[in-house]
Amino acid sequence: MKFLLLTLLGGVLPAAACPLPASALQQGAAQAVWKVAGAPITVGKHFAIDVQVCPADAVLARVDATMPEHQHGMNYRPSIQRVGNAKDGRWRAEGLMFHMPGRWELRLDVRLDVQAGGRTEKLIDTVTLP
Amino acid sequence: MLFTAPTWADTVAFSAEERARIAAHGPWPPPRSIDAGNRADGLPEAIALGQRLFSDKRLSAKNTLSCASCHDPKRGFQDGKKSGRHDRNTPSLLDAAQRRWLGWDGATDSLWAASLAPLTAPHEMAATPRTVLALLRRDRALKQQYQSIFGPPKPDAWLLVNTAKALAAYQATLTSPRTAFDDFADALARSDNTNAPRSDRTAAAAYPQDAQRGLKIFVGEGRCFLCHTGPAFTNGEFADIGRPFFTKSGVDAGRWGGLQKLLASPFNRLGGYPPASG
Repeated sequence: MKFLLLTLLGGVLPAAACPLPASALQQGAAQAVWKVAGAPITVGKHFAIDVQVCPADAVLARVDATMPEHQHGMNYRPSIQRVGNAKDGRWRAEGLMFHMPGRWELRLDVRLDVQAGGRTEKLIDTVTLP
Repeated sequence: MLFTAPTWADTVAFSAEERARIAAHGPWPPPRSIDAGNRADGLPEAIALGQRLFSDKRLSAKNTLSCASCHDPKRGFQDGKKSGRHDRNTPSLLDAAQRRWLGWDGATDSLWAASLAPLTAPHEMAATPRTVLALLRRDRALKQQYQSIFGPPKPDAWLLVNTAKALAAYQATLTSPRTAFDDFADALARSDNTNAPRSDRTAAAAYPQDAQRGLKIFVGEGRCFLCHTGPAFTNGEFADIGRPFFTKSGVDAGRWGGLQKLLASPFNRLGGYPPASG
C-alpha cells in the first residue's frame, strides 16, 4: 500500500542500481518500480508513468491495465520508449488512461535475455482510484 | 410566518466515502486548458472574430446557414428539435472545449476540426476557400480582424482551418452555468456538518431533498459514478449501451466508424495542420 501511495503522488523516478529493493515488483528474475510522471492519476485523464526495470538490459515490452471486477481493460494502448542510457533500465509509458474509479491492475511485461531469444515476465501492481 | 434557519440536519446523511465521491464532481467550472493545436485559442481577438462568424450566414455557400442556425444560443447552443437535420441530434456546444472526442461518433479530436466539419460539409454550410475569401473581400472589417490573427487570407485549406480555429476559440468560452448541485457539493466539501457557516447551510438546504436522495443513490448503490465521473459527469469515453446497430440508412458504424473517419482525416491532431503554423 505504501508503494501505491507513492506512485499515486507522482514525482521523478531517479535511476537506481540493480537489484532493486525488496519492495519493488518482482517476477522471476525481473524487477520494476514505477511512478506517475506529472500530476497524480485522475479518472478519465491521460497520464504517463516512469518505469525502472532490472536487469537494466531488460526491455519493457508492454504496459497495460485491466479492471478484473469489470472484466475490461483500458481504451488506449500506451506507447513505450526508453529514457536515458540504454543500460539504465529506465522507460516511460505514455497514453495510459483509467476511465473508471475502482481497482485497476497495472501490468508491466518485462522481456529478459533478449539476445538469446528472450522470455517475458509479467509484473502486476494494483492501483485503486477513489 | 416564522422563518427557520436551515441546518445540516435538513440534508441527507452522506458517508465519508459518498462525500468524497460528491466532491469529485466539482469544482464547477473546472479550470480550462488551452488547446495546444489551436494558437488562436484564448486570444481575445480570435474569440471576437469567432463570435462574429458564428452567426454570419454569409459563411455558407448559399448565404442561408450559420453555425447559430442549428446551435442556437437561446436553446443552449442546440436546436431543440426531436431529431436533427441529419441522422443525429444537434449536440449542444456548451462545455465542448472539455471534450476529448467530438461528434456523436467521436470522429474529430479537436474543437476546431469539429467546427470545420459542418462548415465544409456539402449538405451543411458547404463553405470553400473561395466563398470565405469572397466574404472577407466584401467585408473589410472582417478581413482586418482575420488578418490581425492569421495574416493575409489565401484561397487554400488554411483559410478554412483558420476560420474553424477562430470559431473554436469562441466556442471554447461557452461554459454551462453553475447549478444548485454545484453549490451543494461545494458547501458539503467545506463543511463538517456541524460548524458550517450560514451560507453553506443555506446552499445545502436549497438543494431539494429528493435530489439529495437521488445523489445518494448515484454515488452509492446505484454505482452511476463509475462511468459518470468528474465535474462534467462523464469520463469522456464511449460505451456500448445497447443502442441498435441498425438504422434507417443501414448499419450504424458508431464509434468504429468515427475512428476510421478520424484516422483518415488530414485534420486530426497528427495531421498536416500543426499548431505552429495554425
